[in-house]
Amino acid sequence: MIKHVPIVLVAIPLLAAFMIPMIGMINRTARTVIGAIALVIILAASYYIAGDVLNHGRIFYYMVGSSNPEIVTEHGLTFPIRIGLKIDSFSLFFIIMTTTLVFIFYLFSIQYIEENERKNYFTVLFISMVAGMMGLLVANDLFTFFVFLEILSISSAALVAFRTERKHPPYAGYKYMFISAVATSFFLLGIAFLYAQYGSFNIDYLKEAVRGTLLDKIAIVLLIIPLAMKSGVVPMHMWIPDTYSEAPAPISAMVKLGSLICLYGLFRISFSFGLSHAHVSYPLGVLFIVFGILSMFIGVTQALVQKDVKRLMAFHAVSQVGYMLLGMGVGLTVVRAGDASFALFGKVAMIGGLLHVVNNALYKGLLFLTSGVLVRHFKTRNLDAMHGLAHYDVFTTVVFMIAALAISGIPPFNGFVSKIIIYESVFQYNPVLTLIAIFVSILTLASFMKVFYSAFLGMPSNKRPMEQPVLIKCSMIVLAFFIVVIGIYPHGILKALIEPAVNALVNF
Amino acid sequence: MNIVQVEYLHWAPLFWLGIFFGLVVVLIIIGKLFFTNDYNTVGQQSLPFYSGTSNSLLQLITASSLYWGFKHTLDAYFLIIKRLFISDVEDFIQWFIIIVAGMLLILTGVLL
Repeated sequence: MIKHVPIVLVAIPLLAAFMIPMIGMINRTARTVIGAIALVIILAASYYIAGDVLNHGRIFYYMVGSSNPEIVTEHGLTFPIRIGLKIDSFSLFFIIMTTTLVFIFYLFSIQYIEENERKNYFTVLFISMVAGMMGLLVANDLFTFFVFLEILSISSAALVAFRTERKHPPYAGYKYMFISAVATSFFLLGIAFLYAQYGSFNIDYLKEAVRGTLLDKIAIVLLIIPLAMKSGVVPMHMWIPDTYSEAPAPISAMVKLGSLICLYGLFRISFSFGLSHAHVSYPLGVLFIVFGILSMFIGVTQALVQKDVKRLMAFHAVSQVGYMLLGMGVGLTVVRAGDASFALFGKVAMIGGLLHVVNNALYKGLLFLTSGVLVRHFKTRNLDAMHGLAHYDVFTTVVFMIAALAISGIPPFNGFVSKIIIYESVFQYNPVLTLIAIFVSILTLASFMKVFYSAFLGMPSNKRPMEQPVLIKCSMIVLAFFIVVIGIYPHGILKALIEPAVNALVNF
Repeated sequence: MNIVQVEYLHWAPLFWLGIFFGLVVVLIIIGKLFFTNDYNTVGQQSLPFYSGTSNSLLQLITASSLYWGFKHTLDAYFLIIKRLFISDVEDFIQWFIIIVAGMLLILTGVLL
């Protein structure tokens, strides 16, 4: 049974997404429960294989359509085109993060999205989005990766434009769809270049087969840049504030999670094809560092001057991607150099970068959820029109503070841990980069002080205090709990998840 | 102090939490010993004092007014950023093409 887990992770949400419209017409509660059950199954499945993958280093291969689904393709062999799935420690790290978070966001959305807001559509698209994410994470061939990237993009765009009765969301959704289409077209072109030469989509096979021809180099660029765009890397980041700010709060968090999964693709492809001088003529890691620094600095300075709370948080999402790129970029650079630096600090930088991915998903998710509560209470996203929420909503105040302090890198929260690892390791590569990263962290703190001062402090507003529904509270408490636990006891996640993930990526 | 040692992470949260709570206890003791709260809670003594205005609404500094000095100093930078990223679809495609072209030149070894 355990060997079928890779396909279960994709098939269950797909199946649920097809069932939900029919069930929703009969019974609304059953529809919501079916969605939750699908998410619980994939959550359980991901934890079920965790021991095998992380402790024993098992890699799950799955060939859909093969008489024996566990056939592993030998290098150099020709094989029929079929859907190849693979789970190793690196993908499992992202899978566990995703299955846990989508379940929490789903719980939040159950009571956040009103029934009269076409909740059937919402649930279908939400679960389709999860299917897209899962497919991306288990895909071991580029075409499957492309297909699930499209599923993720289409369902995300539809959810961004979900509130069609308003003026801006449809435009934001259209914009997201358009730029996603352009990006995935380039991605498809990159796949075509590789397939034309090597007759395969399989990533394992291509990694060995790629010879470093001019066409290969063009293909690598065409695979990397669309994923960088979907991750929100500066200067291709402007879709992020437009999209995140117009989407309902749980969808902002989901689209953010989708961006992190595209970052997974970016790292996977970069470490597969970007390590050898024969494949790319210039160290890809150095470019990652440059884009990381740009993202951090431009993101945070743009955030600081925003007065729209959701746009402010969206710009911070851009800025935080910079930290991940910085850590992974230093790792990628020293891995390629092949000297002792990798053992000395390169691996640690990658560990910091990956820990920042999960930390960012947690506190950014919580910040988007709290922004949803703010917008629902004040009926505006304008910080100038908000004040005094702390007088009567202590719960939201406390969880916002936890998330804001975490993103600013204040101990003892999780953001501090990943940032200190990045600072210390990157310092050994280049101290100036660490200074910039610390400066960006200070600006982040300043920016969230502004939000806290504006929305939570000051005179109490005249608006009637609103008690948060239980599922909204629960989902926020769980996120805050993870933020605190990882901050106080990071060693567990570092040893159990992050280190095996880094090892798998480097030895991929 | 760490339950599990991780050689690259110099962070002993339990130690620092102990220090933090120790300081809080010390502050509470100092507060109890030296500070009193016997002021008049119904009069103006308990209200914050703002010089220069008597209108309570004006006392609230809005979010857009915060960090005005920082923004003013970086006006030139923000003007450039605004021009570079106008957030139109065409603008986005433009950046995408520029980055693809730049990366092609760099990674194929034409430029470097």
